[in-house]
Amino acid sequence: MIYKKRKNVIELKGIEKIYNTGKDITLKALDNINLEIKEGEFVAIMGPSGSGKSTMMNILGCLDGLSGGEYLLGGTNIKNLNDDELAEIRNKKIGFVFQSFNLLPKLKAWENVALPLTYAGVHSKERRERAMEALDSVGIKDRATHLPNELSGGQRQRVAIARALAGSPDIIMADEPTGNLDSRSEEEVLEIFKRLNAQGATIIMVTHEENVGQHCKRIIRFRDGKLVEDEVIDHEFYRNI
Amino acid sequence: MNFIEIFKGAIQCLRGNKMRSFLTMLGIIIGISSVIAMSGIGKGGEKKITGSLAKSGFGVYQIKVDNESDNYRSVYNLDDSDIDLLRDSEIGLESVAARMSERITVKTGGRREPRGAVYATDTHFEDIEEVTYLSGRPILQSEYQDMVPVIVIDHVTAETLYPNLRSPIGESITLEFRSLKLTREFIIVGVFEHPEAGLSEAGLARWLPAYGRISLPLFNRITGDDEYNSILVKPVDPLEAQNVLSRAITVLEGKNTSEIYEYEERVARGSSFKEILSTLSLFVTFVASISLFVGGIGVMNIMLVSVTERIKEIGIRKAIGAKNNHILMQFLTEAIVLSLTGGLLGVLLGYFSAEVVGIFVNIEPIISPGIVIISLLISTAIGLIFGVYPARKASLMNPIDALRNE
Repeated sequence: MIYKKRKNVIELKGIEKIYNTGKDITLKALDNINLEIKEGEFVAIMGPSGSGKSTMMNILGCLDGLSGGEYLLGGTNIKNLNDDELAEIRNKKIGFVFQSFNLLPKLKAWENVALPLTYAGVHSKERRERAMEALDSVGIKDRATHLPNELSGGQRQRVAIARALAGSPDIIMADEPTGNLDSRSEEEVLEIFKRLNAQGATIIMVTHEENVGQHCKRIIRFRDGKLVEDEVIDHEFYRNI
Repeated sequence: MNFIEIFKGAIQCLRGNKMRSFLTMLGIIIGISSVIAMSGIGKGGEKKITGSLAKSGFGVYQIKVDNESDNYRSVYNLDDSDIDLLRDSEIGLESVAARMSERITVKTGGRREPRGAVYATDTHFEDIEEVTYLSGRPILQSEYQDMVPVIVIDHVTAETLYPNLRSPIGESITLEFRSLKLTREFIIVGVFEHPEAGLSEAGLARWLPAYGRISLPLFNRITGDDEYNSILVKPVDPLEAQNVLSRAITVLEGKNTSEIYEYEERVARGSSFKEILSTLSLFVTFVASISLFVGGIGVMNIMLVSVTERIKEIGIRKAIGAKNNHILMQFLTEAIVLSLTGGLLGVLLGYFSAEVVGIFVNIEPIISPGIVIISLLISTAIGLIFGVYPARKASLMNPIDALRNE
């Protein structure tokens, strides 16, 4: 209807996620989720804890399997893929940014950034160049040879963003990326996301902070495993889509 | 992701836990070093022994009657007519000597009575075997002929019997001829170097048979019998030995017609060191295998700990695209690097212990490249075998569970 020219990056049809928490007790973490996300979108997934937003993120990130429904990522149906194929999708199509940064403490900043490229089989010289480029694009090239524990929280998250960017993924998924940051670093990180989005990157961001969500173009709200609200923030963007 | 990088990562990780890595390697270090040290000392000792044997017995053969039965006295034995046949045959023999061997016990009256063998020989023996006298002199020709009860003994027995004497020359010694059940007294006139002397320096003197030599005519008078059980011969040309010996056998068989003669090279007889060595190396191999097995279990244990500690890391790696095989290779390489490093340290430790032990037992150890390569292969295999289970466990982790782990 309103989304016509841009291609779907993500397409969810009737997604369900059911956990077996006890012998006969099941918990429906996600219930009949239908969603489309197109190229160039910047989507916030919001909701209180236990609403299913993190489960949604894990499924979108191909870290977790689904119990029912269909998930098309860039046209590929995720359902029947094995561990290695999923790993390849996470490696090539998705860039993750986590709340707790999840950098490997023994690797230097640039080595952390280069790690996804290592698994992609990129040659070591090219790896370093691309890692440096990614660090440069988040303005932290001068810290390339530092270890994570020599960096501030904001700097670590920028390294993590560089790592997510290094493999030129189709989509960046950020799970509470500002949750562990002070307000100044939060601003910086959000600015980076907005700039990346303006340059064409598709971004999905889980957050529970309303002001963070307001930076995005669209907010999807979850409650009790259901998608309850789909709110457009940047009307301009969706008018021209 | 190439192997060198995985390798570098593994080394980096092990260096991050130096103490733990070292303790884990200990079992492998001990196992490999004992194998290396044992083999080094063994090979060195073997070379020393065969060296001294070659000196005393190179190119010397003994012809014997092939007596399968225990009661060989009733069967045909060699006598002077056989010696004469060989001496007159002109088949290329440099010298021929008669020898009778008899098992003995040295009667000391003490708690320990050395056992061994006495060789009753004729005067030609000294032409055939090079004997080094450490003190005294050989049995004189006149003493051979006149059946004087003198004896020359090996230096190890001499030191055992007379630990407080600088020289046992002139002392008397009482021997019991075990199969004859006879006891006789002899005067020691000479002490010669034991052909397997290397063994005594290795602290194994008590394993050595006592070794003495007396006059054959005297021995014949004691037994009342003029036979002997072997003839020692030395071909003129050592390279022609096989031909010369088969001709000698033909000569002897011409007299006797039946095929009862056999010959062997003297060097092959000096094998008591090798026997001890093989018993000892069997024991060391046993200890080393247990040590290596325990070392392997240690590697597995520490790798399981390492996997548990790094669940989060595994989760991160998987989240950014590591395949199961990447994780498997990472941990497997770590296990191999761990055990291979242990193996390398074990080779070094084994080398130094062999050198140190070698100083004490007066043997120059020989570490062959072969045993080093085998040791390193074994350590690699241990890492591989005992690393598979933890590495597999790591590789099959569910990324989301691993990521959630704190």
